[in-house]
Amino acid sequence: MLILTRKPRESITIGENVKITILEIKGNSVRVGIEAPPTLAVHREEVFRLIREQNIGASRHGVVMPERLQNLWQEWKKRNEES
Amino acid sequence: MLYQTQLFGAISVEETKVVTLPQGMPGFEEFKRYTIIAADPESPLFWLQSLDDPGLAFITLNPFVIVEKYRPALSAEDRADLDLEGEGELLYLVIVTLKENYLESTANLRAPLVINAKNLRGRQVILDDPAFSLRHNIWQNLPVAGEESENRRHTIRIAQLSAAQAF
Repeated sequence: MLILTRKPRESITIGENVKITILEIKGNSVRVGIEAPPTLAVHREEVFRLIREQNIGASRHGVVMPERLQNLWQEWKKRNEES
Repeated sequence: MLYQTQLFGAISVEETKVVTLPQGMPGFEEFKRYTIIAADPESPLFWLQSLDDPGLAFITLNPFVIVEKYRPALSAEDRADLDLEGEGELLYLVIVTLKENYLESTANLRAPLVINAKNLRGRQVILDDPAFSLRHNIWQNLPVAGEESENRRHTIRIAQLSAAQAF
């Protein structure tokens, strides 16, 4: 990890297209401004990590899953009809 | 064109049924081409089969059948990635984690897959609203009050994008 020390209003550039500016420090929070190409995904790390984990978990299913999906659908239809 | 898949064997997919995710999905950034496969003619559940990896397929769901008033807000970055002009026509699918006990299955409402129906570009949009759970139990609010016919229309629209049926 590259470690730099910045003061408010100072910036860091990454590659040619990304610039990070420290806007404000308040208590133990830092407000950060990010300039990046619109198609580059920028997210709070913990949210991105959670989405990643959810996706990976969701992709893990054995070949019996199509049957289970049918069971789910049948059960769902039944409950909808019952209400 | 013919594609091999682990779940469905060889499937035939026209180019007009290929959904492209320019950024892939978190955890699967290098896989960008998918096709939708309808699991059942009436069902709001759909397979999202990778065309780049035969073993990769997600179970997805029309989110409107499990939550009322689900209106994901798109950022400028989201719109640019989808090459979205004006309102366009957007289709939404949420990724389902099917559990051993299928009654524990959940849907990720925080990061829906949004598809631009005009150009078939897709993006997994990460929403800011913590009210949308990453693990929403899909049995929570059945049945969902609200526009049933509208939900069905959305299901039908998604089904129209599907390459093949798996039933």
